[in-house]
Amino acid sequence: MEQFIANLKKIKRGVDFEKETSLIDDGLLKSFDVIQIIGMIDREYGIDVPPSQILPDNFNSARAMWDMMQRLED
Amino acid sequence: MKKKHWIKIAIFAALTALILLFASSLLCVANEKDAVGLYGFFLEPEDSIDVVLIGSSSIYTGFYSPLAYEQQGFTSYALSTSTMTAPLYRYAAELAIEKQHPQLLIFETWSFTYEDQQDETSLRKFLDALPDSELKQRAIREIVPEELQTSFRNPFEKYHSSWDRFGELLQVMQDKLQMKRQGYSVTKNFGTTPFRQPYLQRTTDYEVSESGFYYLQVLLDYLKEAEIENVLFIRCPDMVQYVGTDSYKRMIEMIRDAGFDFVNLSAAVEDIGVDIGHDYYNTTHFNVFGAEKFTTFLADYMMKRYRLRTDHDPAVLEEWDQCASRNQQILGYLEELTEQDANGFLYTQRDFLEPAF
Amino acid sequence: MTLTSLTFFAFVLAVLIVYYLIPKRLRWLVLLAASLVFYGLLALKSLPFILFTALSTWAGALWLGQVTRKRTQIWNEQKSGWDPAARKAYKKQTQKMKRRILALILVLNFGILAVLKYYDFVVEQINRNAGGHLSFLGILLPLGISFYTFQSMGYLIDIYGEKMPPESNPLRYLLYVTFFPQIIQGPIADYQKLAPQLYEGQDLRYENLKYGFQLILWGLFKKMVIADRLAVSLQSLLPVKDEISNAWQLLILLIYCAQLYCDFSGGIDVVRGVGGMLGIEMAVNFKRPFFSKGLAEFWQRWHISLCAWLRTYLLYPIAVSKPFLRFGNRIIEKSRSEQELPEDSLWGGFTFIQHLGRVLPGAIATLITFLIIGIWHGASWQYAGYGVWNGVILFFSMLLAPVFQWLIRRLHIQTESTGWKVWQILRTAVIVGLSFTFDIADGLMDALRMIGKCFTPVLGPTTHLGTAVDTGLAGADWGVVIAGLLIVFAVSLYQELTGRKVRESLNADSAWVSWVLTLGCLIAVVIFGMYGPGVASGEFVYMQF
Repeated sequence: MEQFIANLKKIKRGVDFEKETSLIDDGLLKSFDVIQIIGMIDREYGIDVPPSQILPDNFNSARAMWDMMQRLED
Repeated sequence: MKKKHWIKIAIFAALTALILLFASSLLCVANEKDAVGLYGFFLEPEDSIDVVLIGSSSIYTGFYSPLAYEQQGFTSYALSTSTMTAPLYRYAAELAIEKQHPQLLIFETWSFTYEDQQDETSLRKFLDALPDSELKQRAIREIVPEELQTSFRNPFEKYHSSWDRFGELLQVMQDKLQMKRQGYSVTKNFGTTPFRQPYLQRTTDYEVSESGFYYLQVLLDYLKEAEIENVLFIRCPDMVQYVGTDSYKRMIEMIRDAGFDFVNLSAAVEDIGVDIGHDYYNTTHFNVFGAEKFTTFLADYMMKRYRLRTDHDPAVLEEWDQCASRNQQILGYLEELTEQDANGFLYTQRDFLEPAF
Repeated sequence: MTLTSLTFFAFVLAVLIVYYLIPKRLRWLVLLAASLVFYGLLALKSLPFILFTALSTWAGALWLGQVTRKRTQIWNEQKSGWDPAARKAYKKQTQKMKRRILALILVLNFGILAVLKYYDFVVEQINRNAGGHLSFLGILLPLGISFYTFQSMGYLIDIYGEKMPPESNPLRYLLYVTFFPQIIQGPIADYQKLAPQLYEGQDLRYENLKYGFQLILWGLFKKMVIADRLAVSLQSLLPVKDEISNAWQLLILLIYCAQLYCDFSGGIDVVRGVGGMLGIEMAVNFKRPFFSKGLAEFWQRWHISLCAWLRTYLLYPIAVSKPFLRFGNRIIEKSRSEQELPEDSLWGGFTFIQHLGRVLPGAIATLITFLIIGIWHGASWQYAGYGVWNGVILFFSMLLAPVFQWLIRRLHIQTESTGWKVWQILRTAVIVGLSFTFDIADGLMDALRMIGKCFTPVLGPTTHLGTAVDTGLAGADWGVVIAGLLIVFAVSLYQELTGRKVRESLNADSAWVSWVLTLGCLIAVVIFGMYGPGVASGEFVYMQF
């Protein structure tokens, strides 16, 4: 999970991924950033995120993203 | 929803309606002078007017009712709007008869020469100034072009955009209120321009239009059925020399065949005493000097020809005595302004009694 | 019947009365009946099209739901007995079947839209350039087809993504598609947000009536007092735009921006106000777009429902599709370096190639999305140009974002200062304003010419002093427009700075203020509105889509 957060920080600097829980709702992450994150998830973790999973609930925090990745691996 | 909410909604609706009603009466004015002048007509007590004169601007600029009363004792009113077209004559006549049962109706014949008898602006100047009534609705149905009828019935649809004339319209409302408070109009729809037009030689044909004939016939048919003692068609004197044409002669024939009278008053300019370079404010309208002379002549003519009865209720006599008592003041003031060629169109009591400039 | 006609208000009043009189659980039927009547009154001949879309989508969704249910059942029963390869294969097979169903319905409906919208344009190009003699279809676009097609396809794609179960009642789904306030110009709804409100009868509440009514008045104010007035001016200025000096081009664009915004957002306010009076909250379509600090932000504040739809159903699917991801990731893999670049290097801590790999998928997907936005607006080269203008600017702004950051750091620009923010807002407004040339020009070349003229205001035919340009409006009318725009600006500024809804603060403060302002707005609309004989009421700009 720490590596995941480190990767997130590389994509979007200046965002506190450890603490923030409203990344989408507060506009800290834009659609452009989400696309890059999904690219990173595919590249680094081999997980395929379908568009139907691109929901605020799944991207509002690093933990939410991690949980989504776990679900998709099943 | 609680009861208080329904009450709030009702109050809001009521306020809206009130404001819109006020806005409507303020804004729905086609022509300021005509609105005020016709309002005065409706203030007159019923069956108190002996002579109603109907026609376009030559009438209300050329005839001063309080002066005729002072000289001859009969009451009169100019039921006349700017560029009044022939289709309106029949309804003006009906209105006059309905409200006043006058002894004499006078019609000015120049309106029969207009080509576009259903010109919207001309119709509006008269119809929009009428309070809603069965007669008004009938007139709209019968003489207003089909596609315009809804906007005549709902004038606000058109006049809401008159907000840019707010100042003038507020004045109109003030004038009406003042007249209402007084109970009557002092100047009886008279209007004038204080200017002396130097003599200009102009000659043109007096040509009655096809639609003019049509509406003349409509008027004549109506008059034959109506309860009216005397009807007189007149041609007013102008600075312009009109040449009588065949259509002009035909018009006179039609009038006489129907059993009504016609008199060409431009043939009587000498008797009237018109001073051609002094008594007009433009080539077709008398100024106050011309109006005084014309009124004197015409009132005398009417009296002699028709032996008008001059008995009235004391209340009516009092009203007219009041009006006539201002003649000196009003006419004198207007004469002064005219000698100065002050210009500008005056039509309200305010204009006539206080310095308007 | 337009959204600003007395007929429409009478219709809404009738619907309101019937809606709240009928028992709550049947209220959705009132909405359905009203919507069908509305559509029939406005575009009876187009009714078959919308019915087809509704029916095909409803059926397709049910089919998808059935496939999903059956296969989930089999999966739950069998999966323990399968090895990972078999599991993967079964999943793939399920996906394949669902994808086929989805594709069928999408192709049918988008196909109809594409043919009706673009066939004539394509024929024209063929005829002109390849000497063909094909005939035109000449069919009028069904009312609201661009809106309801998108809305329905969004629903179907959501079903495919198993976001929610399909609606089994065809009449209910028909209501979702035909709901009358949104049919003329949107907003494009999200099923999970709108449908429950529609199906569940709403209670009669004073706040709903009041807020909805106030919103309608505000919309009418923008549309009838400001937009319709400016439309008159444009009618005078546009025909002569090539004969007057270039400086006028800027003014014309300014007028058009104001007119388009007031017209479109005003219409949306009326629509949302009507929904509000029915107790139904509809999507916001505008968030004070001209306060945007960048073009990307602009498209999150202008025609929001369309952009949200495209982002969810076009941009993301493209950008995170296998080909795109692989493309980007392959570039990144190839350029992995041992050395870590500092964060404040030119490309933000990456090499140029790495940076490309990270942003290209998103940037290209964005470009494609905006091309679609362009031609969604109309079947012509100038609308394609509109899409290209936006798409290309955004493409390069994404690509060069780190460079701008680097420049800002180097020049020590204070990005939090008001001055910088104002600069950003103005710069965005100019870019957006120039993009609107594609709307009002006569063709693509003319649009480019107009843009060129904007940069050379002192050139072009000189308007001699004395021959005034007829702006189409009297001075008093300009006074009304400017006063109106100032009011709109003040309200927008308030909303922007405080984030509060004006209606809430209005009604929270003294009741007097609320009454006076509401009455005032109503009177303003009635007196200053451009309606009546001699005024051709401008149809909503977006009605033809």
